[in-house]
Amino acid sequence: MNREQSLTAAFGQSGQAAEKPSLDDQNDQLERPQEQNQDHEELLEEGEQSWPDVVQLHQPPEHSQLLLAERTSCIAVRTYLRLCRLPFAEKTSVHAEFMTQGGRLTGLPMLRLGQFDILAEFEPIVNHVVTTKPSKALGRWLSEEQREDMRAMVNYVETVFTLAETHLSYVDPVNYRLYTARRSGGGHPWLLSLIRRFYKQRQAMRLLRVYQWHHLSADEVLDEVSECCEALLEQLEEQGHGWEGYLYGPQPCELDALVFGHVVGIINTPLPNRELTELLYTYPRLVAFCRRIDASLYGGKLLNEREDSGSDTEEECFQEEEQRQEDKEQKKEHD
Amino acid sequence: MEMTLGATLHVYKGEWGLPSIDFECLRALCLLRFTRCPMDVQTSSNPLRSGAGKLPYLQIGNQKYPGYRQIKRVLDLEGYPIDAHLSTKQKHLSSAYANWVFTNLHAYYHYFLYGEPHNFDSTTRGLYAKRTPFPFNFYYPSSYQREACDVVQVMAGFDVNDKMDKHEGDYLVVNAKKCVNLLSRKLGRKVWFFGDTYSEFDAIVYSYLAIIFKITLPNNPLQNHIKGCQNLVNFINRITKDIFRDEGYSSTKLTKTPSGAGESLTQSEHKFLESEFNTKVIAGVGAVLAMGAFAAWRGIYNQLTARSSTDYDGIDYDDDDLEEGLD
Repeated sequence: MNREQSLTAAFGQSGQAAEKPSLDDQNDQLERPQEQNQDHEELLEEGEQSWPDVVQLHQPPEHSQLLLAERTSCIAVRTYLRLCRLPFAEKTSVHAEFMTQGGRLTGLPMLRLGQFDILAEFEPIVNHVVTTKPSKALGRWLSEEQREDMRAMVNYVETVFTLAETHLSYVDPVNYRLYTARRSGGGHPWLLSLIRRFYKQRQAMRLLRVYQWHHLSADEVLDEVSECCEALLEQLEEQGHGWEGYLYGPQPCELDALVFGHVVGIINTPLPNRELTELLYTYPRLVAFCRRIDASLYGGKLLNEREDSGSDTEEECFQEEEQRQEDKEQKKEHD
Repeated sequence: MEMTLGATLHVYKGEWGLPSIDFECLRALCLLRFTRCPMDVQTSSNPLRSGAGKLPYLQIGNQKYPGYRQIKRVLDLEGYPIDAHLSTKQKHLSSAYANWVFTNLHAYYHYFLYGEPHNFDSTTRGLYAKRTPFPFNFYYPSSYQREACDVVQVMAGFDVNDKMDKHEGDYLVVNAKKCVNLLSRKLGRKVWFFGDTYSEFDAIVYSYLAIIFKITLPNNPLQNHIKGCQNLVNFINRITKDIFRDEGYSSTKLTKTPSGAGESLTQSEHKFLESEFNTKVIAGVGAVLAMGAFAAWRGIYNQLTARSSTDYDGIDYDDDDLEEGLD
């Protein structure tokens, strides 16, 4: 029913949803769902649907329940929606993990559109935005082949990073005891939290078994992540826009949002065993790339809590790398 | 590049002209044959001996390497890497696309081969049971069904043990069809997916598609879809006929049709019937010993010894009476 209504709205009628001029106003708007901002008429293209007024992004509380893999997914979705300039309200729900359905990895965050539509995880949300709001979706300038490559990369990056984070949270004994076990109990009374803890651990091990990662050692997991990072670095360098471009051109696409979410989530989360964070710091160009997105979207708030070990900007990283390559060539000549 | 002598890869035997019926075994075989690695392939293998309870496994000397990942690592170290001829960019693309194909086809493969009860009971269980030695052929096929339960639960969100109308197989079929369309587009008219040279991605695609295409299941919606993509069919047939010319096996090609009773016997039971004479002698001696032990337990020896003891007791009494009479 919603679809029919919005299609008739698209064909020549005045649009219901309005473009929110700034993201600060969105909380006010949602407190008064009856009032509609009629300042702009949203021009909907053919076949497009209007973005609902009430859009909520649910995630578990960060200080007590949110695990690493879920946190990175939430940051990625938030970044993507901000890059698309689609308004939404962020809600913290204690029972967010019970509200979701679908999703093949973690199932969070959960996006609630209007009254009935529920979507979970990065890829389904992106697919929904691409099919219903193609004018706002990112990556429109890519050719068909490039878009297929990018989709494959999104899938690959999401799988590798989420599995590595799950492995690090549940299989690594230090992390599990000090970080994950407390949080996976989930704010319930003691017996229920114990049962939930075992249930979530069994689920995580089943996930790792299905993807054939359960028998990997910590070093092998780090190898997989570094292969993924190398692929991303190569993609970044191939673009040739120096230090101002994104992974697939001069404009950001969904892969940028995903990479940002995972890298920032890993760097920012205070895990007892920080091997993955240290691995990411060995790719300073990637960290600087994320810092740039952070500066433009979040005002640098997400990354400036941690001190980095290396250059601040990509320009400096680029120059450092050039220097290193020159040194290598000089050494070869000497030999 | 030294290959240790005595390296053997243990896999399940094939069917319908394919070298193996199992996805993991087929992938491992592709790794071997694409790189022309000189290794033996053993098709009558026991999963129990693998150390992980699953085929394929690689045995070099006394060391065993179960599972595709470990086999790939060993081959890379021994100097037969499958991605040797790819550029770095192609290697990354290969990993990305391999992961994408895994996401879309793995769930389909596991559900329609092992998860769907009708398919499993009529076709797949028999296939695996005939290739596993007695008595493990009762246990190991069900382990694949249990694994499929996990895969389907994680990737498709429903439980195989539920009733049939709760199985959401359509979602899997739609994703698998989209994946096949993409693969067909990517391959185009090329010989391999990355141009002139083979890659791990070719091995993975061949392993999934060849089995799904050739297997005769009651319910297999993707089979006709693959038939519609002529370039993929050519890809599968070319690799089967050229590279696996020696290993392809098809049970319908046997010229000797076995008798009705023979068809139901497994390979190990055939071996027993045709075994040598001295094995039968030992079996006969064993039977006699068993009968003797049973007889002893029943007390036949006690009866024999009881007769001899009464003779001994009966000697003295008559003489004593005679002597007393004389006095």
